[in-house]
Amino acid sequence: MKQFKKIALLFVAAIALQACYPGDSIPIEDLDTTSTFYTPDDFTTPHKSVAIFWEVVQIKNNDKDDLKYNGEVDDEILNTTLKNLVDIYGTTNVYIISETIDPTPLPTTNIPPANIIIPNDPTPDVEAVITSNIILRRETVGVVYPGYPWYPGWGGGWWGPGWGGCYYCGYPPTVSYQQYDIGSVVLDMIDIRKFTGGQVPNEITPSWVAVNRGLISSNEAFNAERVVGGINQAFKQSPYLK
Amino acid sequence: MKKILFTALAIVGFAINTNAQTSYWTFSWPISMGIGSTNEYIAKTSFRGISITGASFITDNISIGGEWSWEVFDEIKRDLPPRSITADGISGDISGTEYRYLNTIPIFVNSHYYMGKNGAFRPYAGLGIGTVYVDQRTDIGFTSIQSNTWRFGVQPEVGVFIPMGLSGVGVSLKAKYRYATKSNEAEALTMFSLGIGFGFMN
Repeated sequence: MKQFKKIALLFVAAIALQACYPGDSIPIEDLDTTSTFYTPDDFTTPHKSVAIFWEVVQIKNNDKDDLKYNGEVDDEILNTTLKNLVDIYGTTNVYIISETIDPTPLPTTNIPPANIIIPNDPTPDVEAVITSNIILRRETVGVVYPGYPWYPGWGGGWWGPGWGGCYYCGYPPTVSYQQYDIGSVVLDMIDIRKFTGGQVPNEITPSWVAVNRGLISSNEAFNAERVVGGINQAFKQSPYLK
Repeated sequence: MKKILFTALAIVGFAINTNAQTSYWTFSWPISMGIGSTNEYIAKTSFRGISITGASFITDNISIGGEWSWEVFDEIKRDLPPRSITADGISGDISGTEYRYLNTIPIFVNSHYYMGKNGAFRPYAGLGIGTVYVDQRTDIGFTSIQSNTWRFGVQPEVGVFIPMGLSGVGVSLKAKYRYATKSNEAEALTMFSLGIGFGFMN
């Protein structure tokens, strides 16, 4: 019977060592996720052309808790998005909205020079715009567009009557509500076909949102690789973009 | 399901208390594999778990008893197609590495038929019936999809008790197939389990 008790004690110890959710150290890339959301009605008729704002907007609080970021992966965010857009819509149907005629970073996918739009250019024939954001603040319940500093100046340019008014004159519009983790890279596609007659809603619901969660770590090369993979995955899992 | 659990425990308690002639206890280490949809969810063999059984012989060859087990399955799945999700009424998809976990805790009342005599090599076959607690969790990044359900289950089983000396202690070997009904949140559980451990028959 003593033997039996020893065995029983051994098994009680074994029970104590069990774990419901065993897990060794989890590699950081295993925590990356790519989520995409879309408004089906906005894709009933495919967009013929799109424009990408050639700037990654930094969503931050401007306090000490903000994630330190100096544009290290802006190139990868913008150029990976551009390549995917060109693959979907074709070279001539993708535009870059840039502050200057020489966009920085340099676009690595060729589009016609006339498709690089600067503030003084006439209104391009575009049906949707893509914005890129990176979340640098600790808590972001909703992304509120801080407004691009150069938008007001564009109000009298192509960002004018031809576009149905000055969309961002009333900025910052709230474009989406989501719980974003710090380090996330967020792409928003806004269908501007809906904004007719100069009516710009106070809240703009994006047609498509891609959230690549937590892509920023202390390893810069690794971050770049994960950003490229995450953005490619976002387009891959969104077959309605066409 | 609570009624099933209560009834199972009552029967086991009754059986063990009403026959003091011969009782048989086992403590086993289960090695388990999912079958069918369970295998599709986690294909990796589980080496984590424990199993405790207790039975009383109501005749020289027939026992009535019970079993409590715990098996833990886990697997990391990469390169999966995206999952459909809905957030705030908006449909979408999420992709990423999935950490999958499956905990199964059956509580069975069982009856076995044993060949041979007490103190000798005793092969047996039998059936368990009762409830299985199934905790299934999938982690994608910091998102968890989890279901915890009690389900009805059955478990055919074969095994053998190999006595070592005259103390009543011996080696217990067993093989079990387990089925637990599907729930609203998850597929039916089907698995096969091998058990090796100690037995005490006295």
